[in-house]
Amino acid sequence: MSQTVVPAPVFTRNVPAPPPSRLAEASQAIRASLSGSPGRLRLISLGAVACVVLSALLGGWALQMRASALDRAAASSAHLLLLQDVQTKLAQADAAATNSYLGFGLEPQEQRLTYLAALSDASIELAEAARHSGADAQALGQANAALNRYSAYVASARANNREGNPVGANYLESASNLMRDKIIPPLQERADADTADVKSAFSQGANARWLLLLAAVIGVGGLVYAQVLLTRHSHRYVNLPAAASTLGLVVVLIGAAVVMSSAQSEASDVRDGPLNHAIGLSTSRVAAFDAKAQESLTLINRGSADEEDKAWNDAFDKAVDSLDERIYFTAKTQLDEYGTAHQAINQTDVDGDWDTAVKQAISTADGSVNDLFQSYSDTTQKDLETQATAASDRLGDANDRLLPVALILLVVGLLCAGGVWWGVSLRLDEYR
Amino acid sequence: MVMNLSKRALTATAAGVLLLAGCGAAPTATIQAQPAAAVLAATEVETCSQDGLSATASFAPDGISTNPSSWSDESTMGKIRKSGKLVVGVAGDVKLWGSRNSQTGQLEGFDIDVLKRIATEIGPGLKIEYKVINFAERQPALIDGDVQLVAHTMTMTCPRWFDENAINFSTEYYRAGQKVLVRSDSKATTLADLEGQKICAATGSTSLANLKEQGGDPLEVSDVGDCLVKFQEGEVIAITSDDTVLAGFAAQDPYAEVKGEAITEVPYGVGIAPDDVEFTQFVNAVLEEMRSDGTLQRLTDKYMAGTGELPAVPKAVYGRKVDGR
Repeated sequence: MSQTVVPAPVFTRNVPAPPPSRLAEASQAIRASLSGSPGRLRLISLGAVACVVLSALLGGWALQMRASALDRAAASSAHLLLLQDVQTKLAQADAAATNSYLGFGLEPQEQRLTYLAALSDASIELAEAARHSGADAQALGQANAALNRYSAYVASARANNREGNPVGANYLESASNLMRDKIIPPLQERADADTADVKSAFSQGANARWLLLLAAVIGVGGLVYAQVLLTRHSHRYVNLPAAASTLGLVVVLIGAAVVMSSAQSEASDVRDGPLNHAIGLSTSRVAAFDAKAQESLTLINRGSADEEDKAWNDAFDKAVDSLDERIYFTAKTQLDEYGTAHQAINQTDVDGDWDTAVKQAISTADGSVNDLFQSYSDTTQKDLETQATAASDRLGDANDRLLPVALILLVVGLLCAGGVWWGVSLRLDEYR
Repeated sequence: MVMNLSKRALTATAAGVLLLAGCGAAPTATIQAQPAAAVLAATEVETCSQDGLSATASFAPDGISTNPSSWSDESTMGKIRKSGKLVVGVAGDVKLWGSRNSQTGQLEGFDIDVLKRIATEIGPGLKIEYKVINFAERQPALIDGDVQLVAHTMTMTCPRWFDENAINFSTEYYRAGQKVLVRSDSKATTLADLEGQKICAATGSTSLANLKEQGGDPLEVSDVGDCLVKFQEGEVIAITSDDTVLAGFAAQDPYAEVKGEAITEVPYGVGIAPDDVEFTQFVNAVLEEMRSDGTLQRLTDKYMAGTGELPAVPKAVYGRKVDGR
């Protein structure tokens, strides 16, 4: 018996073919739009627009980088001058405190007020300077704590001096040591950091011009190349909208280069001019006040004077060396006159006439050592204010023009991109 | 350490009693060269192994007096008289002994008055040029010739007589003692009571050497006056120095007090350049006069009154020979 095996029925469903996906459709449409001569024109147009937009962005970035560097240089310069001013005021306070101590407890009221004002100003400026950065906050915070201790020591020195206690001189010397060991070094350290930051900012600013050059190569080069391709395809030599866009981009890039170069030049002038002068003047004043304090400390430590007078000479030489004689002839002359008067006092002390030396050192009469020093101090303070203001204003002015030009570059860049697109569109219309 | 200190304190106390007994007699008007061993005052200070004499022994005047006719042609006194100026090393921050009067600006104190008398004896109207020096500078200043005399609460010790930086000393003009200065509410009276705590002492001082020897924890300062700053600022718990110096500190700080017995006997002498025997003899002659006319007693009363029991004016001890060094 045989049995027939019937194959199992096969069920088939009539499923329609899946519709092409949207992505595939878009891809197909793009391929179609980019094929043939119209397609190549569209590619040229896209490439040209991309080059112009990229050029505008790079140019804007270059200008912003320059502006940011100048901003940083201006901020660090301002901070540097602020720190120098704090150092000057502290040195001035120390000089006033030590000189008034020589008055045997009956210090001149004017000197007392000078000390109080200088210390108060220094304390306020120190708090302001500490807000500049985290590193400043830490270092200057320590300096401020030491400054509180310094003022307490000076107060103890003064109180003991008025009561006739010799420990007053020990307090005063401890205060001066605190100033030199714990207060001035962190200030100097932060001032050095500012100097390095100014240098780095100028260097970073210089790099911006290469970025601007790159922007010009990409933008102008891209447009010129696009027009060459257009000429090949359309057999027309000039595409007016594209040519106008190229010209516009060239003009605005040249304008940006001129403004950037002018800002760079102005910044360099400020760095080599007012800023350097202000730093030199400030350094000279700090050292000169330090010399004045050393003069009084030597007399307070009766019998410690010698021919070498090293501490005073070190400070005085620094004060002299920091002054550019060609520019500050008057201040230099006044400083030399003070130096001569001091040397006479020291020689009097070395020769054993301490009483006369002290009388000369605390005198404020015309032609006295204090009078001569005050002349130098007044002159340099006025010069310093002039230079510091000029440095701050000119750095700000140089910077003011950069960001508006960056904005113009972006706007013109977009217009140029539109112009190129329009110019190619005119050629495309001929294929419809 | 406590045991050692207690023994030292007992010894010092006994020495002080003997010393007072020995020095209680009226000062003698005549210059007498006495062998060191025979003088009671010298028994409690160190005896120098180099010549077997007390550290307080000096050169007898032997004919050198305050009369310029007794001086040799090349004497230092003659040269000083001729120059019109005596250059001296003093303390500038040791109240009662050598410190600046803040009202007048002038240096004043026991040591200053001794030097003024010596200057007067060299020549009437002789000008004194003061060089304020710290403890460690006293011997170098004499050896280098920067100063001609040092009166600076200077302890007469054998090393200072005989070591590398040896100088000459006059006879003793004051007997001090090393003590401790603490807060007035402190119960500490000895270095042993302050074990493990920071104690201030001046570099180059015998007090510092003693403190180190007894295992103390010192904070060294160049000027002893800085110790009072450290003490008042709370950086040290006590100061150890001569009671003369500490008395000056206590006079400046009502919350500081000199406590306990003297740890060591501290004889003061005027420092003189090494090998200038004639000048040393002259200074000794001046000091003899100051003993005999009561000047040293008056100076003791003037500057040290109110600082506790005053020591008697020490008698001169002689016997040191030039070739003994």
